[in-house]
Amino acid sequence: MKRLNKKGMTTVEILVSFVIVAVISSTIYTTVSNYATRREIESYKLELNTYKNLLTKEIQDDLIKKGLLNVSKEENLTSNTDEFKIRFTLKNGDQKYLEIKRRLTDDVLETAPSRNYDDYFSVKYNNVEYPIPDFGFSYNKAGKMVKDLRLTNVIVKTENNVFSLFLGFQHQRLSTKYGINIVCPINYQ
Amino acid sequence: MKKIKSLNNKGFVLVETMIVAVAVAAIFAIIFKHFYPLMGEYTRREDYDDIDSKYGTYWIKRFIQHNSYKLDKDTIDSNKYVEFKCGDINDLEKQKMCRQLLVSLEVNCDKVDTKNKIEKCSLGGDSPQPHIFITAYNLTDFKSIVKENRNNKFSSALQEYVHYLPTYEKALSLNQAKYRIIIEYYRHRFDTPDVEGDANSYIVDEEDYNSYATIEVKK
Repeated sequence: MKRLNKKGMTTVEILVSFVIVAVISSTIYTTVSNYATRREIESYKLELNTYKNLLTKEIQDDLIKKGLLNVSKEENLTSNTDEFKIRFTLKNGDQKYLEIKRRLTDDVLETAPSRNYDDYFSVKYNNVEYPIPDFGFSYNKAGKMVKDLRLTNVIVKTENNVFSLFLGFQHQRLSTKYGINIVCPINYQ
Repeated sequence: MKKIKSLNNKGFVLVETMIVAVAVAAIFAIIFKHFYPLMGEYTRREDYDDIDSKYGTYWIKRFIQHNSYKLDKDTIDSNKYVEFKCGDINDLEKQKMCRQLLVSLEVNCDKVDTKNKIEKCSLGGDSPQPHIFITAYNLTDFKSIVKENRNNKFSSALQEYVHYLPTYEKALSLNQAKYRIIIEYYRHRFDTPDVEGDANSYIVDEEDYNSYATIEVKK
């Protein structure tokens, strides 16, 4: 039987191999971790879009099929909780309510926060709760819960017989693009 | 003992290894080159016919279908499209409502100027012109007009959207609609409510984008 070459590899050869393997591994790791982050963002987008589509469809279905006769708005903005109650009077005489409650704690990690309570959000349409998607949370230094997805803007306007509502969400990995926009002419014949 | 055939222990020469490595690298480069644009295309298509644009387009369609708006069918036949203006609505109350609707819906009204600002739709008149195109239900002719883009009327993003749309081969839809509208929206994103001092224009920032929607129109 022919004798095998028992010389093995030199130190330089082993070193070069290790360097090549290390470079390839680090490149693959960076690429894969980028895609993992991207996948996570896409799953957030999907969930938020599903929520947006569901709520928009519920409200617009009523406004289109039954017709919007009038809108009135009550705002109660306190130092603790912001409350918005929007009443849609439809042409068939039905009244539908959109109720939004928002309590935002201090998101910056201060030692003496001015708003010493947990984040809380509630969106109800026609007495049905539409819970805002839960993307996790963290705590500020005061030990209060700061949600990753927050309802930061509620803008309700009625101008020249056109109603518009904007619910703006904030998430560190998403833009404000995924907010809810509902626009409808009032008493349109 | 059976004699084992001796193996060729020479291995590959450097040139052979390099040729294989280059070939593999070239294959990966080609795959990446074709795969990467797909990612961008996917991101762009996220803004096509989204729910906000679709409902917005529905409400504008209601104004077009209203008796107080006269559709210029001859121009559609000759030019292959007409641009919708609220000023063409005869009912003044509806005209005012229409203008407010375009503002609230963020319909795109003009191109970016040198100061990186974009003009908002105006409540006072039809200038700047909203990007609302009424075409035949079948998009064959409109697609070629947009592709030619003789007067630089259409933005490259709108051209991509029209290219993405199906032709809708038949002359009429299932609901007997003979026309369709295509609307370009300018979505101005902001963290806080828009500043009062910038009432007539938006500052264009990285998060702004265009969205598009189409819907059939019976007239």
